[in-house]
Amino acid sequence: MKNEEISQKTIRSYLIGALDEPATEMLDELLVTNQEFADRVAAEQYDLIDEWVAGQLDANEQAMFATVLNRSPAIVEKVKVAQMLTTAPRVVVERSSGSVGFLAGLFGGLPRLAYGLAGIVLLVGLVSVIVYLTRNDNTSELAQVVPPTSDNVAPTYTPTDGPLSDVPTPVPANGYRPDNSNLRKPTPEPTRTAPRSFVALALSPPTRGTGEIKSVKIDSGVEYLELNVQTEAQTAGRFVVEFGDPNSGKVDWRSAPVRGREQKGRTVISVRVPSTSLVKGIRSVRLREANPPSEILDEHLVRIER
Amino acid sequence: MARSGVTERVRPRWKASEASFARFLAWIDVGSESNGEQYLALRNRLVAYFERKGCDVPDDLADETLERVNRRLDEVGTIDAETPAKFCYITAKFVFLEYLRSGRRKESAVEPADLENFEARVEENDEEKENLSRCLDRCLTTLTIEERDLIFEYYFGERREKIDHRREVAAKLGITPNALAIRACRIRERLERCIRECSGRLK
Repeated sequence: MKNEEISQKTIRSYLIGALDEPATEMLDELLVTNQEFADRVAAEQYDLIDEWVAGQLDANEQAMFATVLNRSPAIVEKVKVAQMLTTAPRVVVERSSGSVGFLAGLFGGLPRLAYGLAGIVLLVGLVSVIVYLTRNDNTSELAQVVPPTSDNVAPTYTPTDGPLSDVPTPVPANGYRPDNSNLRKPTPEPTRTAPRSFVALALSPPTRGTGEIKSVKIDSGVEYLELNVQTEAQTAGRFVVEFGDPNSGKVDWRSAPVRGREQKGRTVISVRVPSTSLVKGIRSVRLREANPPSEILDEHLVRIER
Repeated sequence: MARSGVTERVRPRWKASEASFARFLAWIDVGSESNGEQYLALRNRLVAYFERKGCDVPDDLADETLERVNRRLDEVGTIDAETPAKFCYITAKFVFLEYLRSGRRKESAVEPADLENFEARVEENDEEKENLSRCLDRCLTTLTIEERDLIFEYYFGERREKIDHRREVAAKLGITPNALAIRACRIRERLERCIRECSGRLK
């Protein structure tokens, strides 16, 4: 049998020991003789381990995988490493989304807590407390400064950053023509291994239209703003987030289209805004539907401090 | 010798001569000059095989398999009946059977209670947690930013959301979802290896 003919479901059954002996032997041989198949098995095994650690396997899979673990010390070691990583102390960043992937669990901890890359950083906790004490009293704002000693990269899919930043801004056919002349181009990702720091900000519907202005301080070490925008707009499509002048409508920065996530009846859109794109002063944050680009769905005012 | 660096890196425990080992590498390469990479890839697959079989020393058994094949090739000069990988697999089956007969395999390597109590035991061990976090920090810096981005994107979300997101990421990178899975898997294997080595040094 060829690698291409074997489904992921079959590989999972193979890994949990659910195949009969002839099928198992056939896949054993393929495991040794076919590198592509071996790669697929390794990837599926990690997914299986992750789901085991997260308690997401159904009862049958759980029982069968436990049997596999019972006789395989090497796979037990992988599970132990994965489990220990989920309980290692780390810095967490509050975010409004409830969905936490396994790697977020690996580096970010318990359910409903967000992502982090690591470590123990007492200094991060101390700086977070300082920022918390110096921010304004709006309790719905989430802003924690993560100093460069830890790398807390939030796993927000933001095509305007990093290696995925080549998604072009959509050019609509319906007459909506944003003023792109002063848009800042995304800063090229530097090739280095130093940790990245960011601040987080959440904008939720109650602040809209009240004239309330949230502040966020962008220090020199901060590389990006992790922005979470909640909206009551119910749509399954994609959104675009813009930062711009509240008076003239000029746009400083626009995200690529991103998909929102449902949370308690609202939609949450998460984007990562490079700090170099944030203009000091009072800016408007506008949310639009991406396809087709629409009128403004939501608008908030934010004060950018540097 | 062009392969001398690799020869030192991949030399088996059995004292094969330089010439016989070079012939063995060439036989595994099947005409492509992989500079020992095919040998290492085959060895990794054999290790995966013995791991799946529940062997507690999969690396040793993989090395034993390759040594036997090397020796056989040395004795007969050529092996044409099977492809190199297939022949190694057949040899591995014999090695596994001998391993079973030797009684070295432990059926109950881990008690079910141990599996359930992993988290509880780890919670009690602050020093281990501390070491692991330090190792995690250290090992993450060995990844490039692109690798970190990729692995976070790959593991973002849960269940259906994760699957959809992976398809999107693969599309953006211009690769198939399978290729993306393989890249993420290799990065994670490196990270895991690094963490294990690091936490072993700290103990």
